[in-house]
Amino acid sequence: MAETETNPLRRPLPDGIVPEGEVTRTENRWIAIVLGMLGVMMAVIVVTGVTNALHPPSNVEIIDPTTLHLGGEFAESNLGTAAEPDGSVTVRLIAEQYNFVPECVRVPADTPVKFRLSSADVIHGFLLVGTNVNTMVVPGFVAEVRTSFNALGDYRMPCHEFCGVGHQGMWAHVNVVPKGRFPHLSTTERTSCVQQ
Amino acid sequence: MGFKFLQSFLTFFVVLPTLLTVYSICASLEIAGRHRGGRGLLGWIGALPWDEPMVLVAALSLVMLGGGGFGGIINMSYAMNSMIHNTSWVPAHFHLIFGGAVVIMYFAIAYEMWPQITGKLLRSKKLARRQLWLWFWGIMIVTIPWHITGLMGQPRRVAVFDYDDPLVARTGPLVIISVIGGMILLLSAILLIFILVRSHFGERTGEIPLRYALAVNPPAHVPSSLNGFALWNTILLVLMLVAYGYPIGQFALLKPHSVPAYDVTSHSDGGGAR
Amino acid sequence: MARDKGVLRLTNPWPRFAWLAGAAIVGISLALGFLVLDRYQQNDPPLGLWGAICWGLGITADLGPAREAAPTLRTPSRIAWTSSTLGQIRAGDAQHGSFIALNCTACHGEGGMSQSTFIPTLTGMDPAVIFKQLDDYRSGKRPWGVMGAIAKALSIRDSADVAAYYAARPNGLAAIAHEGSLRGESRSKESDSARHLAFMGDEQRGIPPCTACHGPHGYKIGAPPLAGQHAAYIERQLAAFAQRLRQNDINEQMRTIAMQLTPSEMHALAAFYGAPESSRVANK
Repeated sequence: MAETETNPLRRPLPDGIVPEGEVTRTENRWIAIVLGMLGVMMAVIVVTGVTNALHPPSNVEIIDPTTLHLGGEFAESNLGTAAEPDGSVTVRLIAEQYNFVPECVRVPADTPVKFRLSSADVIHGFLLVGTNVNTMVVPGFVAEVRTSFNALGDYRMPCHEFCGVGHQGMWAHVNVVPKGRFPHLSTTERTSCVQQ
Repeated sequence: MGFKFLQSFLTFFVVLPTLLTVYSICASLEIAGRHRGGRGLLGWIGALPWDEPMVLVAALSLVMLGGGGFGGIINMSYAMNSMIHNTSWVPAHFHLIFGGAVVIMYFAIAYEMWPQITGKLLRSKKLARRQLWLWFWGIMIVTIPWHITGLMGQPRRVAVFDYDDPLVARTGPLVIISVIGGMILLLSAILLIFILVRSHFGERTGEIPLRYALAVNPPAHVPSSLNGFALWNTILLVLMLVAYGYPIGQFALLKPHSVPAYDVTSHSDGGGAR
Repeated sequence: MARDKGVLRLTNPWPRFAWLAGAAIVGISLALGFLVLDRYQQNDPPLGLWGAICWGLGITADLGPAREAAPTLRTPSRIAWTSSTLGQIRAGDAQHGSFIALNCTACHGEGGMSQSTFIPTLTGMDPAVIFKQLDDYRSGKRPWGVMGAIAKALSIRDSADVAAYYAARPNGLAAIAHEGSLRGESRSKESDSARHLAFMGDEQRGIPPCTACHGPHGYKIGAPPLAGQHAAYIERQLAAFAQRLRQNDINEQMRTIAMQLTPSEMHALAAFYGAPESSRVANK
């Protein structure tokens, strides 16, 4: 008991007041309940993380933001939706002040989709309204999000991080089409729904 | 992802002190209620002096803390955050927690302390209670639709929305409700100033000594490590180093590409980069 | 104060409990985070233990099948705004540039004040713009016979010099635009929509405001000043971007925007920015 001391304020209890022992008991019970709640919530997170692979986007991959267009993964001819040999699709996008390129992305429904984005200038945000797809696009890094769409239609894709004075005009679309209507792509072909 | 789970887990432990505070406030109110003659499981609630702004505020604040707290758990939930990250859910959450639960307590403190400091009594406690209720409903009307627009995917940090777009137009009515809530908050804030000014220039005066709350169950022993910040700040520092040291230090390990800083204020005078 | 003694000592029960609890939380969550959660990737088989740890630490990037990028079929420009490029531009010598610019007067006018509506005025143009366009002409990324031949005759150093010369010329684009606005040129009704596009953009179609990059609200490197330029030239370039006849914009910036514009919008925008012909004659 080296570190305890007697409280000088201690005085006899008024009538009808719960004694300290009782207070301590209820308090301990409450702590147990709180820890139980914490345990249940963390268990839910771990279980869904394992069964549904629900994770925050965490890709660490570096890339030179100033030379994206000179070649490599984010060269102009490589942007848009690409078909992978395993049947999934990969969408490559550039976020720049104040556009996403391509600004309309076409993906098939019920297919694993991998979005890979990089920024050419400043920090942008990537959000598909109504889905869990949400990440920051940091210059110098490649952001990656995986998902699959089961609802057809048009998804809005705003830049959700203030990126400059043109920020509010930086909106793009993702168009989810039935699997059958998605074009069959060779390995070098890319598709998007940008009207040519 | 590994460190994000650690950060998420550590953030989760905010729940523990928060709910212990809630416990202390509720237990103090219960003890006071029973002391005033409240009996039975819930009888003490009725026995509390509800005409005191402070008591009313304690209840309203707890309601808002509850709502904001549940939202906060979603914010810190590892993967669930990606549903609402950078949407208007986030400002809704912190307005509810801070603008609601915390600021309304400041108001009650003002009503409690002003007469003690100046010796001028509140003209009307009823008006003060009205102001607090107005603030409560204002915050609720502002933040509940705001949360919903966030779930509908309305990004925050966007200055202008084009409500002609059918996909954006859905959020329009909710935004209008939020604006009405904001008006109510403005009204409530004006009322607060009015009440304090009117009481200050009113004739009701009285010497109220400064009072401090004393524990009815004063602790017998206080372990000194629980009665100072030294231990906890040390632990905090170590935890921050563990949780954020590597993710931030990674920038030093990676071979980064420089991002040229463009001068956005003028056309480049021979270069453009600073 | 006496009570603060031994607060951090592990022999005391509370510090011991606090440290142990903290260590347990960190240990459990690191184990769960790195050894359990990191292994599971959406749409891919689980990673091995080492793979999961490395991926969590950011040492290895994504190992999925999407790594192989298709070969680069075309690049829009050879220019990238790296610090070495910016250094080249900054080193431009206006004095030397003035001699080179004598060759430009036949088309771009005396001191870069073009009299032809299809040839851009260069006076007061951003040096980075001239430098990049010259290199794009040189490399054929912006195909235009006459300019291609001229640019091939210029070295990179010459391009920077001539860019510096035109950038430093007084009474340039900004002055023309200013004069136009001083005269209170009556703006037609259709320029209201152009004004809206220029200052607000159209988010529904993903069109950012022109002013965000071309000024005055913001500037982006490589974006030329528009106000005071020939309207016909602006309209023609917008159409060329939209029809992909001109593809030398880095990361498809202008093609993405111009494709969203209707021909009448292009016309209105060009008229909005373009110098009124009357002021141009007066300026002469």
